[in-house]
Amino acid sequence: MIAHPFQYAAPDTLDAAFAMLAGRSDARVLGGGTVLVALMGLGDVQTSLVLDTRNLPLSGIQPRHDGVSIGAAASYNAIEGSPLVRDTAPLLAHVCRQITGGRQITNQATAGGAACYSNPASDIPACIVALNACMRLGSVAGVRAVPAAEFFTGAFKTDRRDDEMLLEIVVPASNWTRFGYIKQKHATSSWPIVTAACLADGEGNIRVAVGGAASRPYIVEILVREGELPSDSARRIGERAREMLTEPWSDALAPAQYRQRIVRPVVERAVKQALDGQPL
Amino acid sequence: MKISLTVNGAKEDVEVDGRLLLAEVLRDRLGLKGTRIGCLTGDCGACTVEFNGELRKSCLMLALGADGEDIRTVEAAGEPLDTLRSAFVACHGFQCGYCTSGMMMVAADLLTRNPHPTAEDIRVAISGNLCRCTGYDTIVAAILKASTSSGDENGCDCRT
Repeated sequence: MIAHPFQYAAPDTLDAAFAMLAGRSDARVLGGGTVLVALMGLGDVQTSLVLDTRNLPLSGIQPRHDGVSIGAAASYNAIEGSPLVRDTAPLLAHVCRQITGGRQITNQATAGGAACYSNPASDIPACIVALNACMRLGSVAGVRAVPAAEFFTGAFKTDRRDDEMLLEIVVPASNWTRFGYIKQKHATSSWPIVTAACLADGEGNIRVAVGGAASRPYIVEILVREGELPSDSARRIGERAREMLTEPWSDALAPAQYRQRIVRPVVERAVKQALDGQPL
Repeated sequence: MKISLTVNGAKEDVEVDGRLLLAEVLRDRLGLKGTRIGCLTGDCGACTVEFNGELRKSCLMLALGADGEDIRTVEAAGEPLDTLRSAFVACHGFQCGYCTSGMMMVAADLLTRNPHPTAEDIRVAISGNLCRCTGYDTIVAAILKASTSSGDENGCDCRT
């Protein structure tokens, strides 16, 4: 039982939800609950209002222009199983398939919730930064779009204002044809310590988002002009990823020095995986 | 607050404190003690139930979030749970037994989706459930036995 008393609401329209969030700076939006309910049980989160998204139209996965819109309350299983996601953002489907905790968790937990939680040691932030996704947030003031790269402002911090809720993650269509995803962790069921999500187009252009190494994801890129095919891209990007890591994240999983040491090989492996087109 | 939910086919109206978890209402208000509470952090899977046909960890759900929904617990009658019960007994698929109900719920879900899983499929399926006695081999054997459902209660080969 949760010790702290709170009000619970499960509105069925977005306008009603926005009105509830307005002026309630300590309100918490409940997605799957796999983080929030556990933290409330521990007493680490105390709120006067839990706004449950279960009756809101936020679970859909739909085509958007040439890309795909992932509803904020879409579960990992729904995302992973979506043919649309597999076609337009196979990296995201691949990352969702590797979420641990069993089918119970992947049925329940949401990518939108993971994004709003912004735990550095998690899969979703770097993945959606790599995909150049757009976060659409709603409030009584209207809808605001924020690039994923700007949405994550620090460890457990995002650009979402207290009166806003995440509505959807829009992943645009892109020319990337290959991807790689590597995460370093202590055991299969652990949270990841450092992740690298790599996209490549087969012509030498490579984009990697590094997660867990710093308090927020960062991008390392090689963009080439036509005809230039660097042979040692993986090593170069790995080294640059390490150089760019000036303030490594530290938590119970691993100290900063450990992250500083593993970031290069993790990034290198993700790039090689993407370029080879097969897992290492 | 009052919630109405269907549990193992029966309609239940329960007056609940809004701070209660679904697992707590199932156990303490409806007397269904098969659903266990282990970690309260989503790691152990002992609280696993079926929620509208999908597996969920009921210690990570507010009871209020189950209003109007359909829940199935390990106490539910019918297949594949009935076969799994016999198979877990035949293969000794438990030591202390605390994780058993969660393991059986996950196994029932697996066998419904995939009636003929490999041992590897089973290990992936139970990856969200912990057995702190580490009796995984006999749990996997029990689920395998239920999937082949030979009908021979003594035909368990998990000790060989």
